[in-house]
Amino acid sequence: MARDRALMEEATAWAVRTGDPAFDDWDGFTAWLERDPAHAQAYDAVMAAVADAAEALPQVPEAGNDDEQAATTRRRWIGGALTLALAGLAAFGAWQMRGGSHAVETAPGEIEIIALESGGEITLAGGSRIVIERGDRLVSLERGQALFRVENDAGAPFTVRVGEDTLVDVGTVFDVARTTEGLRVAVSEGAVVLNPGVDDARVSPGQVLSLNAATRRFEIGSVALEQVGEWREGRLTFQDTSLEDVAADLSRATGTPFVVSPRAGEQRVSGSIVLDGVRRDPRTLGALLGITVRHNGTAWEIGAR
Amino acid sequence: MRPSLAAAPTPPGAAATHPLPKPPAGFYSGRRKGSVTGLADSNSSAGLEAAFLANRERLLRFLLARGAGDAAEDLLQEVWLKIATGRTGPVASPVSYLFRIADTLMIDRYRSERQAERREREWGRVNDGSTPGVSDAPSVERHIIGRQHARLVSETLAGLGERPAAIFRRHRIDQVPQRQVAEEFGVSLSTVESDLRRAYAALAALKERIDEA
Repeated sequence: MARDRALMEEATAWAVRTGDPAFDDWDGFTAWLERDPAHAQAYDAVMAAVADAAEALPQVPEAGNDDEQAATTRRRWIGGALTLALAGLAAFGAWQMRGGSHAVETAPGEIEIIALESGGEITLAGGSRIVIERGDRLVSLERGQALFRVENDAGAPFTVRVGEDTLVDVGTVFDVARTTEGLRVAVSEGAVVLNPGVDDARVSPGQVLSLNAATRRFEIGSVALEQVGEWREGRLTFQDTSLEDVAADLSRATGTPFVVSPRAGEQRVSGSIVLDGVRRDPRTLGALLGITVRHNGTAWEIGAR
Repeated sequence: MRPSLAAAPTPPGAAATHPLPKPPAGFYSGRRKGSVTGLADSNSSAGLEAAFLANRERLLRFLLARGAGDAAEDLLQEVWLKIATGRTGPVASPVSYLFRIADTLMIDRYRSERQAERREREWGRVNDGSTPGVSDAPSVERHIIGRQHARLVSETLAGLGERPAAIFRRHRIDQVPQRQVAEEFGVSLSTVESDLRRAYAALAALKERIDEA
């Protein structure tokens, strides 16, 4: 059955618009649908045809985004300045030159929410420090962890610097932590690119990238979406995490110092914990994570069991 | 002696240091502080649930306009279950997210209905007596159709020219937002939209031809 040409054109235009994550005119779309039941049928036909086509096409995995090749040796580090140049962010240099940055710092056990002028907000975890450049499209995570929810603006991409590494936001919601080895970024919505032009590693929703800053190797694994930024709700999940990072995360989140026992060895732990319980009695960690917990007079020492 | 941790919590804000001077007005629009547990209201699924409750009628109206008919309430329930089971992370725009779930449910429903119809037709063909006893014929046939389909889709896209085909792949296969695609290809957003419209129209026409065959 050949559908009315004008109707198909309208349906196609709506399909293109609603297919983009930035689309928000759902009331306008509803009004168009309500005008004629044939509108919904035409829209469904286009959306189904496009979905069928997209599924039929062989998918070409992107570089650095291949789960089967979890550990990827990154290309040689060329140097911070060049990385930024390659990122092609013309606006970037301008912000730098204008100067006028502002730092926000949290005490351990505290959380701070920073509303951004350009839209969106940053939730800064405990024991963390962030520097926001004027124009607030460039921030440096100097210590700790933060959840970013930012507005996408192709003209001025939102950029997070972590040490020498650069994360450019292609979408909206992601969590960045400085780890003892380097950095970890988990994406809940949209996408983030690590060191554009150098690594070009794209992290998609449900993925977590861990970078070792010394060896320059990174891995992309999966993360349950509800775990991204869960620390805001008083929960921490560890997945094959080093004891150093567990101690750092716990100190930041609870405001109570945790350290790794000098004789801990190379153990890595996995598990999910509720911070309230840990605050009441840190020794409960032992059973939850399969580690030893003892107080050494100044801090809680965790070690391999 | 083990020190009591509960008795000595860090008072919120007490140890926070802001070494740089106060930012100029308008630098950013505001800040809120809270303890880890004091931010329960920022829970992502709680935010979605609140958005759902506040927009229930709008969503229902949308589902009805989408042609859900008697199933609208059931589908609304399905939207609720998807967010209440907590399988979502923080989202930037909860309301848009809910509409998108509802829209996707409707598209999935349409597709599975069409698939069931197709299966019935194929089953009918096989059992009309021309090839008795070849019970797996439909699946084999579908497999070949699938490969032919992939080739036809590639040809259809290629027929539009290099850029529309590449833009379609970047947006639909790699899931890159349209604005970002525009930036990558060095074209305007409206060019991306128009390329995608051409690709969608060609693929819809292809689908009609396949279905009628």
